[in-house]
Amino acid sequence: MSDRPKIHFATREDVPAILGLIKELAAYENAADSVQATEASLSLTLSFAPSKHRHSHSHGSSSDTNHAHNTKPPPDAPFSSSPHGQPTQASGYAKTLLLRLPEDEGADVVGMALYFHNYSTWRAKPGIYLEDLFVQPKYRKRGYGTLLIQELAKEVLRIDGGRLEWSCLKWNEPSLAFYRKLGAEEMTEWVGLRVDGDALKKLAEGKVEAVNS
Amino acid sequence: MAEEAASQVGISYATADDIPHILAMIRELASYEKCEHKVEATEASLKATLTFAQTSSGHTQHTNPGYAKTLILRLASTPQHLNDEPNAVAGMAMFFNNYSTWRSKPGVYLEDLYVRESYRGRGYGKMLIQALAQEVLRIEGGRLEWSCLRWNESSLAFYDGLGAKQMLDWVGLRLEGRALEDVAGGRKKALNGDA
Repeated sequence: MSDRPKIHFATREDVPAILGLIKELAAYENAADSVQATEASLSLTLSFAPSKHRHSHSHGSSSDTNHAHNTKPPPDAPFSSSPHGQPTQASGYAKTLLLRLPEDEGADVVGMALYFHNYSTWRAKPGIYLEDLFVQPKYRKRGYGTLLIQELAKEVLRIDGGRLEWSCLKWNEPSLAFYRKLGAEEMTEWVGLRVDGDALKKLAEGKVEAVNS
Repeated sequence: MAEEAASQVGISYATADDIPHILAMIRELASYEKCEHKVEATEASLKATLTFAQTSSGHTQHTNPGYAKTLILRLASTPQHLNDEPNAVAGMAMFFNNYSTWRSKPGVYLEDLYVRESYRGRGYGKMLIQALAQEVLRIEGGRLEWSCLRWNESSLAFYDGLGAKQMLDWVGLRLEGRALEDVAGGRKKALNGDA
């Protein structure tokens, strides 16, 4: 097992690593200034798997134990079929899968898939919407993105769901080619609508009677 | 058409008692889109997968886990329109929370919006969308989002009037059915170690 990457649900201790990857992804999309997330806001809004007790062993190497991006994984971190991997913070809005390098390469977190559950009304079934997929450029071409998508596909089946969905910029041919190769369907007949910022406030204020709350 | 006075209707989170109405509206919506045969939902599966507010406790705390919530729009107990049934269920909006990573903020994704045929043209669709906009603000979220078929000119014009922008640069991707199972099981070319 030592030469294979490991995928597990993020715990609270992984927040610094998640934020690091979010910033790298934003930089990759030339939008580094758009990142407003902080460790605190991520801790408040994401769902996490239970933390493992990280007993810091007495001998040596305390130099790497607090490095933000290199927190050691829990000693037994098999993936989602184990109860250890199940997120338990019900109040969060999204979950994160993290991919760590094999043990013999240092077990650093180098990839993530951040997602939330969606819903198909006609089937009355949940699904997964993949919001962000990112593998550090240095570790590309190893199939890590595919592994993360595969884990998400398994998770959809595990929750008796129907679909794995995500979005892609239309000009991003390399990504679209990769997704086609996986067998994904492009939803070309649909367009997304979004209301945010001032338009959202105006829309909210237009209503006279408040929602019962 | 003149907009219905907001006091004529009430919008509230669905409780488990509303399941039959929700299922009926899902079927009506599917029928409207000529897809009745695609509806697999049943009262039992809706009960198992949706989140409901408590029935009669005086507050609408959601306590059961579920994957989506529903807003129900009901007529007033003394409706103005002739032939309107008091307290009739006139429409719904089914939604779930989404998430914006860069802002680390939730949002609302509107999955289904439906107003019953007898009650159209009164502004109820807009009221439901406005209620969802309020929901976004209530959870300190950033966005209200949904999707529309590209050829649906009249709906797109309506959404434009609400201040929505079209995400024209993006395309949705979907894995389901056999393709989903193949990816999960590692049965595609790209998954066989050489990517």
